[in-house]
Amino acid sequence: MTAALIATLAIVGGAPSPALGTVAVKGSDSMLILNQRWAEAFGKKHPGTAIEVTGGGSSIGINAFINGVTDICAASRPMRKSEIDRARSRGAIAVETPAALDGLAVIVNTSNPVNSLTMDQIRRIYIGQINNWSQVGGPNQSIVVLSRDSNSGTYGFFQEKVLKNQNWGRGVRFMPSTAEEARETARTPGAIAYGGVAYFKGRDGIKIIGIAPAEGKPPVLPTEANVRNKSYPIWRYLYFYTNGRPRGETKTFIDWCLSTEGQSLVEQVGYYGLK
Amino acid sequence: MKRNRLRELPAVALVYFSGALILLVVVAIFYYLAHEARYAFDRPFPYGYRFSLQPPVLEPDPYTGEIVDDLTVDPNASLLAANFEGEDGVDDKEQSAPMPTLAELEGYHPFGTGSAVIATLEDVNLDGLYRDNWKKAKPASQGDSFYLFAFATPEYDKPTMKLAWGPDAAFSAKDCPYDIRLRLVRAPEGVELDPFDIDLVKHEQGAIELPAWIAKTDADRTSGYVFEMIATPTKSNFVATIIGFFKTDWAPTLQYPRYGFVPLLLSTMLMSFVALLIAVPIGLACATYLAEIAPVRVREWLKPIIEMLASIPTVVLGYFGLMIVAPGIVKVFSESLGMTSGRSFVTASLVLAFLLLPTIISIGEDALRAVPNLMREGASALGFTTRETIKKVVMPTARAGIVATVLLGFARAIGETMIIWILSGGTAVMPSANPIKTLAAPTRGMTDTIAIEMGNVEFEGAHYGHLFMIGLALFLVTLVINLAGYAYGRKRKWLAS
Repeated sequence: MTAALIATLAIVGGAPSPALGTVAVKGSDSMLILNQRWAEAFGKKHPGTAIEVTGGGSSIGINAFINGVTDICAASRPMRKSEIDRARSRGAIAVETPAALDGLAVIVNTSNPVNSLTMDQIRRIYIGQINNWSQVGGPNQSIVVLSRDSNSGTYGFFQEKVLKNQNWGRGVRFMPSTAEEARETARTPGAIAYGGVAYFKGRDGIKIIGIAPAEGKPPVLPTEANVRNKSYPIWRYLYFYTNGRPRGETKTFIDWCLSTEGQSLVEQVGYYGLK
Repeated sequence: MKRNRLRELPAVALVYFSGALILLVVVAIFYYLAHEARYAFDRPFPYGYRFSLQPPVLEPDPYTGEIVDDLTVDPNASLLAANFEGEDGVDDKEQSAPMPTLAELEGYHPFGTGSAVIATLEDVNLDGLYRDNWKKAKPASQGDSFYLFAFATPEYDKPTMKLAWGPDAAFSAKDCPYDIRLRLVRAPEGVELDPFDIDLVKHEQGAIELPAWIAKTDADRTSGYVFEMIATPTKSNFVATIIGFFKTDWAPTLQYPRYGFVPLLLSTMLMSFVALLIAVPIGLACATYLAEIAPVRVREWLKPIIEMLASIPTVVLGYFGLMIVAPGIVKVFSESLGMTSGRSFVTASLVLAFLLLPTIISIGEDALRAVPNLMREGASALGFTTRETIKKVVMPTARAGIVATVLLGFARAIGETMIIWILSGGTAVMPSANPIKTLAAPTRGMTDTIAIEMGNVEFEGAHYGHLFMIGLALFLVTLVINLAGYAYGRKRKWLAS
């Protein structure tokens, strides 16, 4: 009883590590599969260290980080200033480590003759200024605009990067998962959607289109080389946050993730390695 | 007699205890919701404008045809916003980033707003000016004022320049609890310009012409035109938050968030109402059949089966709706409603109706069966047919129970999350005045908004607080419906006695 009480108090009190030899990774759902892969492969090499991976969303991970109940916070968006301040007021200094690269692909139905759009056209489609494919060189067909719902870090990233912080159009439909977006796009001839490249590779009925960073520039496809040299316009980092510089087993884990071996797993999951 | 009472005591105590516990839980939930909702009122109200100096360029937008004053900076003219951080608000990044030099400004595009707080203009000196995140628009908030310095570079060859302004993306001055003004503080020496004071809330977008003023050295920049943008609060944050909550625009992820929950409330109520319109007639017909007409053996078989339907997890119903109902609806209504995707109001309402059916049948049947058999026998003795008995005797007697059934169904529909999340399309917009358009359009209710957004919200921030405000509203709506049902039942009883 007393032992249980002490354990509870220790967690409430913000003990940095739940147990000896355990590294807790909590946060982004986009990074969940990646974190699990890393944890599995790392566990085989370092049997003495257990990696505990949980999802829930970037914000949930950040909140856990602020409350000191996770060693690593995985986030698909950078921490906001208010969150960093709140962490600092509770004694946690947020240190950011980019762990992988992610390119967001824009997809349409395979029956759609449009093969590329400019960033500005995509923005106008999503804010509702363009609502027929004929306005961007396609057939006379209304555009069914699909997005992830705001549960996902991808949503906020897309709104900031592509929509330039403007509001979504009236007709945009919000899907609970990226797989749903892909399925709905495959089913609907006039659809457009976006999401991590990994989810769209090898799926029937959809095609990834090229994106021109600006009017008059050639369209770029989200290939590994293009994302890595940043010529593809919609990319982001996926982050690890730690309290101060990583130490001990946390450092061993993060260093391994950033090593050639760890980064090679990134590509298997569908994101891109940093190097 | 006394002994019997004593024996009943534990049971009575248990009943009171459970009652008290339920009441306590309800009060606790209410308290918790209200307690967390307080974060909504910590909301800082930001505002943001873009300013630029340019020669007049008016070209229609290629897509909308609208003529907009494009707020991009003429490379030969420049405008700076100065930022003075207070002693406690010193930001490392800003400290190491002084004002941009003339070379840096060349070819530079849209200009952001600042969050400067300057006590007096005498404090302005070149060494103290910091670039306020000037490459990215940054909202300012209550009580802030900031200064703009306007000048042209030596290459500029026109006699006048134009100071244009417009709101930042998604910023609406009308929803903001400030009086925002742009004033001329000082014109450069030798320039004649009448002082002006422009109400930026009334004129969200506009431009004024100025005699050109050329800055040849870095020091010249602060002796050029100086403008002041100042925001004075007109309402308290509390009042502004409440007003904002009852607006018709839910866009919490914008840089200037809007937390109007009216579209969510309307959508939830309308979806539930349409679901009831479908489920109540069918459900009551089934209940009547089961209670009054069906042979005993049929009822004994059917009732458990119907009650089993009620136990299907709603996530299963949701995906059933997505895979079977949604494509079907698109096929049937693609022409008449102009539907392109099955994730819409009508699909969500239909599946919601399916969810309500077993509940309505089961409780409705209980309500009908609560009518004493003596009344049916009496009606029969008076020569009523079964149809007349149901219509004139059973239904009127069971009315209170039936109303309770409908209200219970209503509360159930309002509280449903998963089906709406999966099927409604998730778009938080006001229902259209045209009912057919509303049926075909995607929508979003209160419950699924909480479910969708809670996972990615900043904890204990304004958005978080507003989600709890919605929770509170949801709680109050269901409470009112339940109390209404209770009050109606009481009234009927009183009439009967």
